[in-house]
Amino acid sequence: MKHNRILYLNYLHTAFRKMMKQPTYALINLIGLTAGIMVFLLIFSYVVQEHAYDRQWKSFNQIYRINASLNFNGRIDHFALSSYNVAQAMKTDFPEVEAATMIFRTHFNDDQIGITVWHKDRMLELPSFTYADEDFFNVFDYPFVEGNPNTALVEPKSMVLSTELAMRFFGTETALGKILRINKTSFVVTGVIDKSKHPSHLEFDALASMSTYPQKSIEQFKSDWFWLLGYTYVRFNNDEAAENFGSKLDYLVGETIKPWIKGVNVDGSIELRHEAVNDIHFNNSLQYDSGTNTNPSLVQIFSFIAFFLLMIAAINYMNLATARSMKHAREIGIRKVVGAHRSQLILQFLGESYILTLLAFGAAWSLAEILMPYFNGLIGMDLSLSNLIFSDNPIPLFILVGTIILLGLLSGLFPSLVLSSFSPVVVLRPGLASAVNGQLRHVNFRRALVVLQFMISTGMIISTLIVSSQLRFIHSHPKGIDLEQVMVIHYPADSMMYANKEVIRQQLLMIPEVSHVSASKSLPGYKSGRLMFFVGDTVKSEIHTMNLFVVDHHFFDLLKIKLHEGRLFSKEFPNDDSTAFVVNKAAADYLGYPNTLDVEMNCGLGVKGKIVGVVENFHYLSLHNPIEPLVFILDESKADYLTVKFNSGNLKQVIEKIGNIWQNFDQKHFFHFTFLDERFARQYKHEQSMLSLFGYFSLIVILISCLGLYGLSAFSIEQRTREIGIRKVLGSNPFALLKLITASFMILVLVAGVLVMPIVYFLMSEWLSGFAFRIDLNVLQFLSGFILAAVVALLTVLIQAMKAIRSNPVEAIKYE
Amino acid sequence: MIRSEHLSKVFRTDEVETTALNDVSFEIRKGEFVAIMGPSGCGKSTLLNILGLLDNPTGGKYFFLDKDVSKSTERQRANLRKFNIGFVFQNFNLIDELTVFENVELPLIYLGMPARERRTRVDVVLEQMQISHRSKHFPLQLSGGQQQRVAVARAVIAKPALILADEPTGNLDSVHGEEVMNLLNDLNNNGTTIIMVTHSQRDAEYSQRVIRLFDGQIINENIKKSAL
Repeated sequence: MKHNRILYLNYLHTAFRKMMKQPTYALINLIGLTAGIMVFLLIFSYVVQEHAYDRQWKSFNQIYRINASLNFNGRIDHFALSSYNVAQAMKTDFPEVEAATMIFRTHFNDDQIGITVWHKDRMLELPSFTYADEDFFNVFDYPFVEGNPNTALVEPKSMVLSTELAMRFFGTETALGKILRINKTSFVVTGVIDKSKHPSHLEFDALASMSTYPQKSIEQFKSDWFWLLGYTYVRFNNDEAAENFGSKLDYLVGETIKPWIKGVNVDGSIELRHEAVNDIHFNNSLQYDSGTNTNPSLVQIFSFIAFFLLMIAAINYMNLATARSMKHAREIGIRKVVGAHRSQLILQFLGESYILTLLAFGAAWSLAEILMPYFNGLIGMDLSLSNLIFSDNPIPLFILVGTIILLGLLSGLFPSLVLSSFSPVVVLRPGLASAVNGQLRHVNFRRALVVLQFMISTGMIISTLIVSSQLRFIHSHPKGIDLEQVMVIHYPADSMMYANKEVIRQQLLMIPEVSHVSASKSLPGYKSGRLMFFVGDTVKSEIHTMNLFVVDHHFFDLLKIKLHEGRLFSKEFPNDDSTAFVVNKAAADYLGYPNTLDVEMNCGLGVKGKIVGVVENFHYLSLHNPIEPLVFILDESKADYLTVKFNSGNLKQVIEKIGNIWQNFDQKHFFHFTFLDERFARQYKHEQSMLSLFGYFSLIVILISCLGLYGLSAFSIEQRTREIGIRKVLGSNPFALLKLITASFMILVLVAGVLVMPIVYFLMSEWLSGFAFRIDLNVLQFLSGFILAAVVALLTVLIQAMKAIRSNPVEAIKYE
Repeated sequence: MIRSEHLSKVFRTDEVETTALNDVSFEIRKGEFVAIMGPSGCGKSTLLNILGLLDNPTGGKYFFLDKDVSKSTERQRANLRKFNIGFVFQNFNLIDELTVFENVELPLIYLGMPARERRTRVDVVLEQMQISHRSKHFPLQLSGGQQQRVAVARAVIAKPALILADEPTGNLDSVHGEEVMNLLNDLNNNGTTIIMVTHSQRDAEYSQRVIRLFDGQIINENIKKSAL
């Protein structure tokens, strides 16, 4: 053992001195590995966080959500929701269900607009809250900092807060027993829970007890199996229960729900499915699912990028270490002569790669720590590196340590095998360079590695260009409406604002910059509801589910939505709010009646009458989706949003003026507003952060690849110094020499480009297929990406080549 | 100590077959100082590599310390080398990244000797070679003569029974060359067997016997009076 220790010490010495002696080479490797590991650390903490969702519950593999799918007229919609009765059935009808709970869909949270709360005379802001029944904490075992999980949500008007919220509201004071007033209801704080260690799809800052709802409402909830008003969760009492639960849900549908559907005489059906709670985060297929859910392919893409970057950095090390084996050869020969075994030499060179890997890891960690806030900003998350080491889950730490071990091995193994195989007889002879070259039979392998590197970097550059042009396309694609300079103010639920709606409207219109004001329940870029419509003319009648916009008279004008045929809602027809429908062109096409304006419709919201107008299609959903059929009804009595359109002017001043008018009417609520174009663009936040990350990572990839190329060309030129000298003496011109040197490398870059293009084509076509409106892939994107990579590579090699060409040929010839 | 029987070594590349050694037989006894001479390309270095267990012969037998080692593995040869053979090269072959002290110490590390013993042993030998004042320097900071003295120190540090010297004075001026030859002579006088490849008649004078090679074969063996 002691013997080995001495040897290792000796290796350490040699390794450090080698680095000091050839700082350029050491730096190339160090920078490459550091950049690679840094990106890996950032992405890894992101991936770990994404996989941590809903895995912290004590029995997470026994917790499931019940999802309902509705089928009307052949059109199936899959929801993350279920009805009140489903939750009740879960509680009572299934012995394997240990606990079941329902939380309401009262606040979608995707608006990211808070609710105003009062504590005594203090006005506070509650980001989001929802209602849950008393069994909630039997399913989700959040740790209680204050209060009792068994009783916290039993009494009406109880409220449980997150620790952050309790801290913000009450500081270090006890929160328990404090009164919070929302609208006209006073809630008592009955618990404070620590959410920080339980990343979950559940989005709330506070939970109110469902028993707060009056019995009358509960009875209403019970009356309808189609009314999907919340999320139902079950916790089974054993791991196997989930396997057969599907058939039990079918039984519930068959025995209980179907007869009810028949009874209410609706032509539709329902299907119930259970979904493991830890699968929810990666499922994007359900409507009204959690806003925290992510796209699994995004996680995959970034995992690949992290892996590739590490590969590229390791390849640099491999390539440079073997390329400069000439420098090592003598040392290897000597060590062998004085009695070193091959295995000892392998260990020595592996040791060198580990020393560098560890140094790089240290540097990468510090850099990642510094860059983490920016990275968090880009992806809109709150990650921290310490989570990788200090979490309850040891797996990330294992993966981290494993990655370092593998990286050192990957970088060091091949060079150490090559180097340790040198025969002292050959390498100790004078005339070393040619002798070693004779021993280097792996030149092709090295070329293959360079090709692989440039495949990755060229591929990433091309992909970045494609993602960016798709996003440009999305933003510049005509939407059929005008979203510019439209301010959206959210009506608080209890305020007197509706009552004063018309007065406020008139006052707002008196601001010179303001041109339109409208109040509506629906807006483009916001979630819209779906509704069943009974549609028919004299010939046929059927049920269709279509998207619904509830609007006022000014809505179409404000957004500049164009009329296709018929008329818009009008004050000349005072019964429009109960007898008129306006549909978009897509709905007209979908319904397929020869004369849309003759069609009779009827919906559950008390409107029964004719389609009076058809408007041109416009994008009210993100461009991921085709333009779907949309029905407008007029209802001026209710509105969630007040939209204000203004002409160019001093934005700050206009906002201030609008705010002043608003607050003249309501001092009890915060003045919350957003801009419609920003809100619409937020639908592409995944793509936007993907683009930024792709851009940055491509830069790093090309940087590492070029570092490698720089080192590699330096050594290749060093090996060819004599050849270059002789050619120069014989009268070769500098241009021919440059061509000679650069051609061998540029061929590799070219091969890489040709090989990677079909792969990028395939992957990007896949990605683009997620958009209903998308760009066509064309040669130009591929060529410009390739040329960019090639030019950077060419410049890198040229720097080295120029040096060789400027050198004195006499020096070169007497070399050796 | 060393006996070769019909040794041959053939190098093959794709197109050419070169016979470097052809039917070479001789014996070297313990304590001898033998010089191997011959023109460039006659097979001197090839022979030295085989004798030094750096390479295996293609044919014939080679007995080292009475054991047939002509077919031994790399690992076996490495073990024999580190305990029994010291090497001195024309171009010194010191490791540039290690100090004088560390270069000399290296064979002892591979032998697994404890640190304190190593330090004492290296100090003594550096003193002997009159280079101890340079022990913390790196090879490239020394003159050629000094480098070769370090190389000799490294060759003798493990107290090998045999020292193989490949043109030890080839890169040195006459003054430094003589110094090195005197060192080798002293070692031989203390009982170390020395085999030296050389071009220099003057260096060969130090030996007791000269083996002359030509085209891979021994053409004559001179035994000098002093050895008789």
